[in-house]
Amino acid sequence: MSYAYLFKYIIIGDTGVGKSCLLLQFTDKRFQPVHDLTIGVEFGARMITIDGKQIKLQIWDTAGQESFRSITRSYYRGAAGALLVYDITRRDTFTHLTTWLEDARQHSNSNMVIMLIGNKTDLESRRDVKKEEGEAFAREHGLIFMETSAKTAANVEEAFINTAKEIYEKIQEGVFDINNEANGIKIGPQHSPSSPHAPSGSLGQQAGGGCC
Amino acid sequence: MAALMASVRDNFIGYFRTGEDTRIRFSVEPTAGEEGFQQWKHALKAVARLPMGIPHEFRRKIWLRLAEDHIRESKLDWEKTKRVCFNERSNPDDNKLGRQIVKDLHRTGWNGFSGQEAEDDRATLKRVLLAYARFNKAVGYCQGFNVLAGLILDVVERKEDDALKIMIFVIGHVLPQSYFSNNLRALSVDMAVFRDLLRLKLPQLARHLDHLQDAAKDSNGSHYEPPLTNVFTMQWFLTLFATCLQKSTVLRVWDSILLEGSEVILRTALAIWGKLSPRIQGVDSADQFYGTMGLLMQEMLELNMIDCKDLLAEIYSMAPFPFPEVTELREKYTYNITPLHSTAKRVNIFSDDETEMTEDDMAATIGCFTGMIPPTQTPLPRPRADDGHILDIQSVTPGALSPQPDMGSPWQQSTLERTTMDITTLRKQYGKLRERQAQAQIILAGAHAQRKPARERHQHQRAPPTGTFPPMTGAPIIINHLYLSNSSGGRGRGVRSGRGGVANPCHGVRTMQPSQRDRHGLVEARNGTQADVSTPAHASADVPSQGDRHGLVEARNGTQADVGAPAYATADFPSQDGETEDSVEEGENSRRGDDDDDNVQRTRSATCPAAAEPPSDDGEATAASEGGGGWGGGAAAGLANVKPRRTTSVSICEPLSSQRPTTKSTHYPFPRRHSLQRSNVCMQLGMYGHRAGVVGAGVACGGDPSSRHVGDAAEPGVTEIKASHINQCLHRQYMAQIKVERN
Repeated sequence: MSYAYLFKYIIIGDTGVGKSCLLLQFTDKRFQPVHDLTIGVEFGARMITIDGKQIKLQIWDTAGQESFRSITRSYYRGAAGALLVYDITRRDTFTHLTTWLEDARQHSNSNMVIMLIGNKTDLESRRDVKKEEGEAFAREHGLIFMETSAKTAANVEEAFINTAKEIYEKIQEGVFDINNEANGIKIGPQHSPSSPHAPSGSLGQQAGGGCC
Repeated sequence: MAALMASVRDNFIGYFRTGEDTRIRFSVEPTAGEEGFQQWKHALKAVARLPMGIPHEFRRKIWLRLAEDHIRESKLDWEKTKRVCFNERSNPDDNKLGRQIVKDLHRTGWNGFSGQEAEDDRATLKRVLLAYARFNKAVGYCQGFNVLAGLILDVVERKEDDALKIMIFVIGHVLPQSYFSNNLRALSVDMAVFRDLLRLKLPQLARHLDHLQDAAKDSNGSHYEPPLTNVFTMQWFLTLFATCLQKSTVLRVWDSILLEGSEVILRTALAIWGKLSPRIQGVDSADQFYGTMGLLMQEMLELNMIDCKDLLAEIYSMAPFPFPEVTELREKYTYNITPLHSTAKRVNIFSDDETEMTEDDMAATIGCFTGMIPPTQTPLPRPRADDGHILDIQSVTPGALSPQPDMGSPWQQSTLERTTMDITTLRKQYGKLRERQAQAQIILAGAHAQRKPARERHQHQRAPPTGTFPPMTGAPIIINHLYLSNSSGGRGRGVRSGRGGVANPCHGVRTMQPSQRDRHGLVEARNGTQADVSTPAHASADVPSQGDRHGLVEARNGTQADVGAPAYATADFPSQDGETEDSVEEGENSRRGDDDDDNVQRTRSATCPAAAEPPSDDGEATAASEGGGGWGGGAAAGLANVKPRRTTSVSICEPLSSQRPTTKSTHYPFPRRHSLQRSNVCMQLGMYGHRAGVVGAGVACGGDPSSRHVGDAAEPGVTEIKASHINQCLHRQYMAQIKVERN
């Protein structure tokens, strides 16, 4: 599968906020109400197209429990993007964001694009964290912000793809040194922007579930 | 029973043919007594390796029996434990634990705990998990337990207290300690051990994986791609393969694990990777590797890609029991001990190891380094004692020598940058380290106090050249640096002695206060020998927690000391943590001592009993000038107590100099002085000199900088230890440490 770039993502956040469900929704376009616990680290991948270029997203999904932090940290390095996820129905997951953010900033490369995600918007009635709060937090820390629902798939595509766009823009601006893979960006083996396999439209997808 | 025998008959023929002991007696229940139990277990081990393994109907009994034996051995009052653990009333800690457990209950999809109809099963699972958390408060609940408990409950037919017994047995006895606690320390160790075993057993695959990982290096040459096997082994090990193999296979693997121990986990992983190897060798990038592995994992779980019998046969045949290398490797990665002469591996630990160093580990590691001398690639001349005895630290602290990782300067540079980001972590670690050293000091001070009378006697009578110092008798003692690091609290002390010497961790009673958290490399050579200092108690600048180590070297009765470990810290950085009061006080004593020999003596006695001797005839006063303490606020003092008695080539110390030692102008044997001065990390950590003033250890060499220089004091033939080597070596080790920490 040829691609112009490969972007590495990492998904972080408290346990049970829906990290794995977001990944599954993004890679497989399905929602598992009961998703098995992530033990350690899992991964998924999917192709997207930005600006006519095939981009492969390699996504690391991490366990949220505190004891796994030291192990999952080694995956922060070499990530170009991070999805920092909290659960809008559980305030504690929101209050822990600072710790996660610190951790991410500390262990990743400085250019990493971080997307803050308030997940579970389908549970509006149980909302515990206002959208404005999420926005304010994102503004304050220079993050992109979105609210999503892994269940209804609302904004899930956008979350991953907007992050990719941001990274792509940074590449265009020369912020990311694409020759340094430590930035989480790899140039594809056969860079072919006009690949005949590229789906039509600006955004497309192929494959998923860690099998591309 | 009959079924078991039948199973044995059916499957045992091949086993008989192998010429194994055929007089094994099989039974589901062991006969009475320890011997009966061992026989029973032995027989079951044999059954477990048969093609069909232990029949499922006996599994429950057998697991339970094994668990009960453990519980009996640990003298656990089971009835009481059960009452406490399954107490219906809520304990104070339950809420938090319970919330996490409940959150994970329905996510235990492995064997039917997640469906709507499984409400009761989930309640059972919850009770077992909560019970275990209450039993083992240190661990509490760790994700992955739910999978283990789910499987166990399945085997014991949902009987809760049986499940708890087996949980206790598996987590507390079968698996290495800290598998689920302490940041999953032991798990990380096993992941690293596994990678070494892979290199050993499947070298081709290991090389290929290393190659894929190496392709992903940043410009500084450090990996940003974690070792490729980690994602998988991590999960396999945490769930004991429950989530990656088919259930019947998992149960057989568990039989072996319970009977043979945790090395079976490593064996199983090796066997699996062996099976996957042909498909993995075809991939040519890390990215492709993960993609392929995604497919293979699915096939393993759903398509029975791995044949159970083959797998088990491989597990048993790959190496004799116990697996020859496992214990050593586990120790190596647990304590970061590198066996001598294995340079390559050392590099590996530091560059790849994903393990997070805990405070303890870090302290232990640093402790290990104290007795380190430069790597064997540039062999140091071995110092010879006058009597021809080789004074080699290896003879005293085996394992203390540690080949250094080969790290280029770009690497160091990048590490330095990252280091600055790790201040918080380091500060915490350092705090803890010092706390421990404080405790250590008390122990040592106590030990010293007992010896003191003998020493005091000695102070009033010169020992003849062949004189025997009361405490110095017997053959050189082998010092386990781990022990020093971990338990005695002599952490960081590289202690050695000359011929007939005894490891002598004494440094001052007074050191208890300010310097108690400092490290001292104390080297003492007596009886006409000379001390060579291989204890680089040292301190290179950017190495915060080493910043206040001290090398204390003393040579008596004879010749001279050559100091390889002038523990420096520059005087440029006033301590920031206000902990230097004692230091200052000592320093003042020292200064007062300028005009008053008695006073000097008092100070010296107080601060450094090991060095407490009257000033020598030629007026050399061994300074006790607590380095920075003496000059305003505890700038650092590393020191080397160089105390020649008859050698005049060294003007060791001007009589306790009233001048402030001007570190900047001194001849500085360490090449990295610049970085010393520049290290913001150390400054922020308040490490320079704070307390470094080290009363006690502190014999700063007055105003004569040259006296610090290693070689200056040397008479012809005296070997010079290059302090700079030591310094560099330590620096690298520490930098590597930080990297491990980061990873």
